Amino acid sequence: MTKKSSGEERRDALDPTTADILQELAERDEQRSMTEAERREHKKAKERLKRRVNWDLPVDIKERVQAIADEESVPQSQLAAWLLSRGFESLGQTDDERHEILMPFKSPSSSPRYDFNLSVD
Amino acid sequence: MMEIMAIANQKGGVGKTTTAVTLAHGLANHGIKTLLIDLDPQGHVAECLGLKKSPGLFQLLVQEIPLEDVVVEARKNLFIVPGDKTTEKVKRYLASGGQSSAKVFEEALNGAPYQVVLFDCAPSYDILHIAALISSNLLLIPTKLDHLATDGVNEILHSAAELKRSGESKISLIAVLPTFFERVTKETSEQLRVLADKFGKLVWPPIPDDVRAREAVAYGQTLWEYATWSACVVGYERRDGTGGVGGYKSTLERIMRALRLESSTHD
Repeated sequence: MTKKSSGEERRDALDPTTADILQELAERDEQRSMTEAERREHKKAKERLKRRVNWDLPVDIKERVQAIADEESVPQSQLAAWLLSRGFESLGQTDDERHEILMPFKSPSSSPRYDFNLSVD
Repeated sequence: MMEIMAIANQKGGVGKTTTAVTLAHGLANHGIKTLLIDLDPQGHVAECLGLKKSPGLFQLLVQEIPLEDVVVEARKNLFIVPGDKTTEKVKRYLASGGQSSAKVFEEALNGAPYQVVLFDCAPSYDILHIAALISSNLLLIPTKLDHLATDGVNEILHSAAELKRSGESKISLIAVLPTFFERVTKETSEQLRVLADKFGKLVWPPIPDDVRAREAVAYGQTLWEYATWSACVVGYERRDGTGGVGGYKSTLERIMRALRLESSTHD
């Protein structure tokens, strides 16, 4: 599997043209009236932001990640990334395989934004 | 199959009517037989097309005059059910139980010979608005880019979700369409970012703010007639000069792709 950069992942989450516009706007904003030190700080903060994610997880999964990370003395984010990267392997190799694997866990959603909910049980 | 799309946002002045008229005429120009229904008592759909306001919706839903006798052919392949202040009476009629609001458009549109029906909803959550959401399979939300933008989108999404949850509607959100986009304004770009973070891929490229959209209304012409070259149609020029971004032309193309509609014109 080809690993994607965080910039590419953000593009996947957004409409590509909208993402382009946002990137263009962000670059313009950055160039406006900043000292060199501020620019460096800003760049670091931006890099951190690219790696940040805000998801709603079942409480037991969140607690298990916290507990294992504590026991192994590793950051929770890195443990979550480790688990996720291995989780992708269980989704098969093709779009059709993934669709088939996930189908039994899907149920219709009442949200106008999504067609399905996905059960983790 | 007839595709029915509601163009809605409970907030006013976000570009709903301009979007509805522009997309409806754009589809019609591609040979797609389109019906645009004005649900706003202001009756601006007719005015945007250079026609007079008239009580079309009242005749259709209260007087129960058949659709084919109520529609006005505004342009080739573009038909409208106009509205005016009598649309207020339609709301009162439906609210008093004159007809089941859930089925009101289903019955009126039954067997109608249109490929696409667009509802231009009023900026309020009233019985007509609900009826439109119930009858539609798609929802397009135009939104201005100010600090209340996300609020407005959330409100209409909650309304749609409630109807979907109760089994009354099968509506799906096709897109959030940012309008009045000003590339040079910090607030506008910040709000585009907020919307994109919240609604992800559903936020389509914005429609640039353009005085020609207002001028076109004054001349009773659509943007496809008055200013096909304007920024709000072709999008704004990229800084590297590689073509336009956003605009109604690309929005129309996206909608045609999403609805699997093919142009029957070849120019």
